Amino acid sequence: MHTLMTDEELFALVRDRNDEEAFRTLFKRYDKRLYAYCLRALGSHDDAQDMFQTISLTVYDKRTSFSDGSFAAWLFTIARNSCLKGLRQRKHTVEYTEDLPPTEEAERHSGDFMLREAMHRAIAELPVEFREALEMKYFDDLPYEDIASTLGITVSLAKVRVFRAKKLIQQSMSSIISELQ
Amino acid sequence: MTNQELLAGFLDRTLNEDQLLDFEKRQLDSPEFAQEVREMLTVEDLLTDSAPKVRYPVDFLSKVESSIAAQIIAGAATGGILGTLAKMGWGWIVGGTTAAVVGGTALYVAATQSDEVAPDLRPKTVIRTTQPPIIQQPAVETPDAPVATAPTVSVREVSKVDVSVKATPTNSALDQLRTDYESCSTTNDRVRCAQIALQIGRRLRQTQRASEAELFLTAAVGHARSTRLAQFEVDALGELGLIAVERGDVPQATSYFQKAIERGQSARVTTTAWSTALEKLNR
Repeated sequence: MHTLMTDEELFALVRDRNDEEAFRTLFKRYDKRLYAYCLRALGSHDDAQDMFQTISLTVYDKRTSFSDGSFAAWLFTIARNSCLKGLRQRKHTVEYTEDLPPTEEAERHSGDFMLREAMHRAIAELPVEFREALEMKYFDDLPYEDIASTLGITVSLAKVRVFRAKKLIQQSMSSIISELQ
Repeated sequence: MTNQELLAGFLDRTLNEDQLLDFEKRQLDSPEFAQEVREMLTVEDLLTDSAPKVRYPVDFLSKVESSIAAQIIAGAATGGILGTLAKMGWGWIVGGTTAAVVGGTALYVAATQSDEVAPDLRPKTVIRTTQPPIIQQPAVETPDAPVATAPTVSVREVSKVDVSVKATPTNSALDQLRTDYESCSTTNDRVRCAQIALQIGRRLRQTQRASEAELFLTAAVGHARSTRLAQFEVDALGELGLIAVERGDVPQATSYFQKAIERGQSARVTTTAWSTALEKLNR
């Protein structure tokens, strides 16, 4: 039954009935996305683990403060605020984590590799507000409504930021894409 | 609409049929625009496929899950008294901790690993594992899992029984749809899941099996949201509204229809049926 419930229904069960099964279902929906978000924001696994732990406990401790709206937006708002707080306490050094060794497939397709490298560089050079919206859309898989809510902006502006981010990437990669096409 | 608006709508899959035709025509008229579209599609593909690969510390994630679950169990068992204690210090009981209630007294038992793990003592070794597919979870994007070498954490696999509905000999089409739904859930093909869940929900509603229909329609909404399939989401919300109408729950029906219309308007997809349904409801 739990698997068919929405995030909000599950969280209501956790909050109101201490439903362990609901918690575990919800946790598994978001643990990797949340961890990846922390890792992107903080740049190291150690910091990401500390932050993930902090955020998970904060979400549980603040469960009664969630009443309506999107759970994902609420969760990522807490995550964002926590990561920003963490970043303020130290110098921010972001490293894109390509932990997995390149596969044979990837090595064979050097064109793909070049494209991906170029894309990561292009993303890193984006204005921060564009990059943040873009990463939420494509890496955290959040809908525009949740991106808007997390960032405190309108849905229209969230769409504009994501689109402009993609345009900037396209413009910076135009020559390499043409070359490889 | 400008070329850029059409392009944005195309990438977000929100163009209606007329707009799509206009979009195609403009590409034919302008090779520069066509090239721009190709490049943007390449960027879109790259963004979709190449999120930074992360080797997840599965063991660590599992421990955090267990520690909070222990708090929840404590809260459930004691009505919050031990829950408060848990927040004060028991919270980091980690690793397979379970709580048993004996004669109304909560006992913490079976701490199979360390009782407490300070953050700086967390295991640093990253464990590679493969997770079994999580079945029938709407709105879940499971990132690529690393290659399996030594699975050490069992991820709870959700029972398919949760959504199975007893088949009858007369609804073979429905049975086939259910089989297809299980199949797409196993492969995490959410696009297909959205479509099939909507079809099942609609058929069940039409055969007066409202409770079962609601389960599938709610799942359809989840799948559709996670895959940005606005039309499926709109229709699933509308179908849920119809169930509420049949149940005589006007406020709930109104809410569903309004959500369907709002979602449709924001995504620029057809909501005529649900607008009409809402109008009828308000008469």
